Amino acid sequence: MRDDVVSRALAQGRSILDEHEAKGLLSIFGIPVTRERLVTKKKDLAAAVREVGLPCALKACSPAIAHKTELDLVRLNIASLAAAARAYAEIRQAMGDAPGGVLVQEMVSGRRELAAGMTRDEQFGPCVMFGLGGIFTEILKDVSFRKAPLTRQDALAMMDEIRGHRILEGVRGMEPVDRERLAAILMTVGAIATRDARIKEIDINPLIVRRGTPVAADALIVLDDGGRATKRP
Amino acid sequence: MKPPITSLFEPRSIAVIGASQDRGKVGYSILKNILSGGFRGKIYPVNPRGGTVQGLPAYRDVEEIPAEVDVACIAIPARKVLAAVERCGRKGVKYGVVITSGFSEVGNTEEEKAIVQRAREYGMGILGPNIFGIYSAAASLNCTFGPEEVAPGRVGIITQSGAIGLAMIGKTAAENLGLSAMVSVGNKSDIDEADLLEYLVPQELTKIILMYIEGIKNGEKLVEHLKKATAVKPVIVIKSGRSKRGAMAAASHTGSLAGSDEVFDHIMRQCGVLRAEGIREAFDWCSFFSRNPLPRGENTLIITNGGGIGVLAADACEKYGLSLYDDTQKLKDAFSTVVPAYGSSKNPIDMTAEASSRDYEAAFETALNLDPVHAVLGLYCETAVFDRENLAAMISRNDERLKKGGKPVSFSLLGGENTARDIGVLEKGGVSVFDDVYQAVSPLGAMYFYHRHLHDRPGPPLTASIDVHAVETVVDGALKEDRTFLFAHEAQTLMGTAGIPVPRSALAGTLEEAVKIAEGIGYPVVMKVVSKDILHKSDVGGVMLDLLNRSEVIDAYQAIVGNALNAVPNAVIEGIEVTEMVQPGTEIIVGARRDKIFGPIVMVGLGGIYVEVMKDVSFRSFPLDRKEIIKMIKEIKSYPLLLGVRGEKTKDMDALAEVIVRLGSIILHCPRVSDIEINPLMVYEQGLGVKAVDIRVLIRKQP
Repeated sequence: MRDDVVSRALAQGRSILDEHEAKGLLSIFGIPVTRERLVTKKKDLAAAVREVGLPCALKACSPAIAHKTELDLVRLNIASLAAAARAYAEIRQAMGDAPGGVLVQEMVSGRRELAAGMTRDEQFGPCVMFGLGGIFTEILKDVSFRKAPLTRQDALAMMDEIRGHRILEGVRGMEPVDRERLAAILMTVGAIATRDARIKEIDINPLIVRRGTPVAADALIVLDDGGRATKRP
Repeated sequence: MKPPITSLFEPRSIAVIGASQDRGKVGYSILKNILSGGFRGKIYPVNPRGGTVQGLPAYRDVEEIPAEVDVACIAIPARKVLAAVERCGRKGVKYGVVITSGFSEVGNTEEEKAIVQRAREYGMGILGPNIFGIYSAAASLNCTFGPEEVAPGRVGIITQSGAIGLAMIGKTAAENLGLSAMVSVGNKSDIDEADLLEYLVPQELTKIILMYIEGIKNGEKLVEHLKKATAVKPVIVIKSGRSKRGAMAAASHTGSLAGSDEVFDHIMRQCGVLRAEGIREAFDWCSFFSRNPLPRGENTLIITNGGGIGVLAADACEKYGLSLYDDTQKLKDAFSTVVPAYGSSKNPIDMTAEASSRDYEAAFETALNLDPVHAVLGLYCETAVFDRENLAAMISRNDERLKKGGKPVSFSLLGGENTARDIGVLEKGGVSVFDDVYQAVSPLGAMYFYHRHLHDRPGPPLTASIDVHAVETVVDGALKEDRTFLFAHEAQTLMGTAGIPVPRSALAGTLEEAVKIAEGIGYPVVMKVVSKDILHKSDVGGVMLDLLNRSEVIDAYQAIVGNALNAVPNAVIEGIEVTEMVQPGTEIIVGARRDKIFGPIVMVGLGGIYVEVMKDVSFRSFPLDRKEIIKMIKEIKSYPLLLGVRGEKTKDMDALAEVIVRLGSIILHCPRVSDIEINPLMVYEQGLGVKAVDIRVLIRKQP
């Protein structure tokens, strides 16, 4: 237990798990995540791209960088190895001295983006969040909260509660979202929070719906280091 | 042409057809109310038996009346109404007030049409049928079968519901408001709200207009009249039929169509009309407008003796769109001598629970004299130390002074029986006072909506010049094939004539052509098979995206043809469509249509797959000015997307506004085009324009 990713990060004086670490942790608990490889040396890129498959995405992956998109450190829909090499070079250069590597990730095809997360409220303790993902999380603020731990009924009620709940149905010929699997993800997020007090925040966004099944395409975990680590990026 | 509407409200003479001695009859109550109401003109009872009715000589027939008759009130069985209208017409009656029910509201539409038709032949207007009548303070005319006592006053009411209207007669009296007029419009077979506004808007006695609406028949006319009305005085509307069930009940109730509530709501806002949720709110607003001056500016100040209720009021102010005055230095300078040491001179001004009536007095005085304060909200929580015997007098005095000083003011008093009694006394005395904070803030919010409407006068309405002939040619072609919609290429042609950019595209019959087209468009391109025999193009591998160069186009061409013939061996392939690959942008939906009720309307909202899910759209009646277009765009919740998110630049709002104007103009100038919808319209960064990706157009033979 004490040799896990959380302990290691804390031992290094970090309060952030990067995308790759965060997804690794989530997948241990059974939350579906994208297939991906972390590349730290240029020579490993080709093998990673082959393993993940084309088209793929390349993203900067560093605990020091929290807003990849804003910093233009994400390249999507990469169709060839040559394009991947170009993207790798660009991202690497833009990252400068930041620690970490470049994440080679499968492209998840799905037009619907959801979000799930957890924060520790001062009064209520760990609370699970669910809502519309991507840019809509910030703009429409169409989210729902419940105190962890969650029952299955709590999770289902959260889905019905958001204004855009119809996105979960089979709109425009898309498959309906598997509500049971989504409920399991939300309950798991709550369970992680109640199990490990060192995890302060979880942010899975977007949680892309691929043929009815949600997959975590990006994730961030913030740790409670008792105020020891330096400022968050 | 109908006679001037003043003849209906201020007739010199009135005939009551069906006037009766029999207390149980409607014709009895109406005549009695006209008599006891003190109508100053001539009154002629009409009853086939003749004799005297309620002390007046009765005529057997309206045509026997030896003088001119301006209004005939008709309260006889439905089957006899048409003949009576005919006689009124011959007599030269100007308006028929048809009380009788049993017409379109129960499906008897033909008879109702015949009545209006007959009246029109004689140049006579018809109010009703299916109404309780009309009250007009200017003529002391109570031509209704409602209460005998009507308090004359400041509100003009137009109601589509009889029961609600009758109840409101009593309510306006009880609430110390009084009526300038009350008109029951019933089935609106001829005269509708718009006609009645012609009288109420310029009329002196009417300070506020209140309308209860279930359904609208001629929305375009109503919009035109409402815009004129709100430039002169506030108009408050209660419209039922918000819920789906409510809309069904309304449709069967009065035989008119209850329109889409969202469209109604947005267009009312565009007209500067205040829409109240229910009767309580409508009356609160009416009272507030009738008692308070309009504010001179945006700054509201809260004065309270409790922190909690102050915060609650601040929340309510945000909900109702009020701005709290927040110049802390000025507030401190003005209030530091008034507020106790441990109180707060920030807005809300907290006088603390120690405050007495004298402390409040000083605070209100300061608010009155502080120029940048434009409206005041007075809050009070009952405390043991307050000299409560002085509460009502102190509030009444300050209410009056603030209003005289041009500052609207609303109060909320929270407490026990004594406070409730004070509220009653103050309310009777003309103070806007409530026991709930939100209720106290709501009328001030309504007043600010109206204030802003008055100060934000519209610019010239925008329209684009449309090549109507080119549009007609496309429409003719489709109609010849008995279609009610346009094919994609026809819709694109339509966009072309309107100057709205679409993705460049052409059909290739050969591989060489495909390459030539792709080179002409520029890479990347998309290629799709075009064949009547293949419906689901993607499923058979008939679509290839993001083709980057010549060799990819060649490969794709061969692959598509192979895949298509593999899936459907005998398919006739008309060609391969080569299209510009549309770059991602902000996906917006823009629409325009000819609404059954409101005529040309335009819509804008969040596009793409979220249209049905979020229903984040706003509507306006068309044409409209630039400010209103910007308002409608800003109204959508996803507006920040257009400002740019995550480091993006602002989107091309001008190009988006232009598309709205052009779609509206097509609908306005080409009546056979009934609906246009672009979804998504890709909106790019400022200066980079827009692109209409998917376009749907509905057409019809007869406008």
